[in-house]
Amino acid sequence: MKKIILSLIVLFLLSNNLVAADGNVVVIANNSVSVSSINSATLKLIFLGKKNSWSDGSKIVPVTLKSGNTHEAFLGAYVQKSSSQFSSFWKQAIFTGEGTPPRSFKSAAELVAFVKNTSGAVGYVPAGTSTTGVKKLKVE
Amino acid sequence: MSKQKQFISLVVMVGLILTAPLFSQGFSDQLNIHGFVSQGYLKTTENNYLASDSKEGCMSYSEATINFMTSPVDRLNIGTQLYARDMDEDGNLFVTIDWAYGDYRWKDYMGFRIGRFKNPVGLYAKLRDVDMARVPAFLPQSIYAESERDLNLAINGVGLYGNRPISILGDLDYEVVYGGYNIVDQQSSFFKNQYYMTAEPIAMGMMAMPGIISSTLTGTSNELSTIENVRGIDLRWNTPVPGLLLGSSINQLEFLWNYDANIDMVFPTADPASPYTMSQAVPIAGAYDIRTKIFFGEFQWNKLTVAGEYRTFDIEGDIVIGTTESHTKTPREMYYGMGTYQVNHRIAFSTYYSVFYANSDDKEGADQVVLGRPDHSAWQKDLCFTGRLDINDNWLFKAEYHMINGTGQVQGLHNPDGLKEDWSLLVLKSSFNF
Repeated sequence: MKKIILSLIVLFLLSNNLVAADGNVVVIANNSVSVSSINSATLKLIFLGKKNSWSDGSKIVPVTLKSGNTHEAFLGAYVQKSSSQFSSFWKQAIFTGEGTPPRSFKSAAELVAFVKNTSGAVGYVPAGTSTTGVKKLKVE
Repeated sequence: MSKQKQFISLVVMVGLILTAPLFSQGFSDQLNIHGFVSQGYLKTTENNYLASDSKEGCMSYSEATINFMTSPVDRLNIGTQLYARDMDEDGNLFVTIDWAYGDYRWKDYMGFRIGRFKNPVGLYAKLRDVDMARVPAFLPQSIYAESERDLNLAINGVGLYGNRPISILGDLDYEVVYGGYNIVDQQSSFFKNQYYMTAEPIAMGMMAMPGIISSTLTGTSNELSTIENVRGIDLRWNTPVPGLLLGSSINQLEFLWNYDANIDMVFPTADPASPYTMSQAVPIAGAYDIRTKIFFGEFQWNKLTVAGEYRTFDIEGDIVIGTTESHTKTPREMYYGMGTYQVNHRIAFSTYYSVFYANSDDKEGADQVVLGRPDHSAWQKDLCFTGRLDINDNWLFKAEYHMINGTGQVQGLHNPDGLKEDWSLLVLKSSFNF
């Protein structure tokens, strides 16, 4: 019984990384970003506005998709929130003056174009999206 | 503020709200403009709650806000939010500065705020004016009482905040604040009720004077109150368990107030048809030290959010009535558990059970009975169900039903005919935001 409970706890703790592991989401960044990999805890802090600078001190500019499966998968896997919870989090920030939400895009192509042209930008797109001109970050 | 100025400021604010979406698109890179308006409907059974006519059903539950934020240089944000509210006697749609501050984020682990900003007292303290960011229309009233909104809302002062990853243990958000409050709305029902609760026993006590026929509290005047030396700390541990947050807020403040209670006393004369009436102004002053401790947890898993908070609220201080000084100490206790489920992007449901004790040393209400009040004014237990429908990304509608036992947070001023123990509250609310 103890083993079953322990297994369930481990499975639960890992469950939020299952989406990341299946490779449906690709994290991309502007070529100016000096890192080539990023961990999921750092991604969470970035998209919740708690980490604003890359390790070299340059400004982080997070961007998101407006909606869709990739948006839900990314938030669930790395930010540990549903899209509604993510939206509520940023509504609170807006109406307390504590921050403005990441800029969002209707399509992956628009997001890629913005990341390509914006120093320090980081975002995500569905696997298979053309990512010419941006770098893919490996998520650890 | 005169009625004329009040009207003009409201018109200006409504104008800004209506036109801001146009401007905000044009200046979106330099200036962020957001706002919302909301309108609610309250209907209670048995007791009037938050309004003097809620038993009949009332629409006097409105909010409007607009904010402006910009980042003139990297790491620095400045902004302000105007806010108007109407809750029966409270607010009356006076436009106030809800917050206005500068925020310099030096490092991820340390930022500074100066100005007027929200006071972090509890898990959802900063949500209480942000209808769009929560499912319930009313947050659990045991901890986020609408009738005491003035007491813990915002602070004029300085703040230090940041986030620090703590290796495999997750990360920690912290906020430390110091400052004071503006002298808040002296006409609000919160203050009126404070006076009522203090002065009514005095009026009743005068009945013991020899020969007196009656003694009645007829009002108050010369009210003055300030909230000073607010010291607060808020810690939130984002644990390594995905979606689990644990935290605590500790806050202390000094609440100073004074006023004259007007008490009418009636004495007998030789002619029973013409008793002698005397009106007496009784000066009353208080200095309270209010200490709040809150422990909270929140767990978000997929579409489910479960949260709970436990709060102690200790009021200790001195009251001077005329030349007589007395010491008072009241430990309050309150807690709730809440569950929220987001069915899809448009529909969500929430339920909570919220418990409030006016005095944790008198949970059965024996002391209330001594004061001439019903025992059930010692507690308030609220089972609430809410449905939220997001008609689109900007417009939402909420329907909420409360089944309540006890009247610990029901204001006597709104219920001159007495209080009933079991009652219910229906809330309908719609908000538009951009």
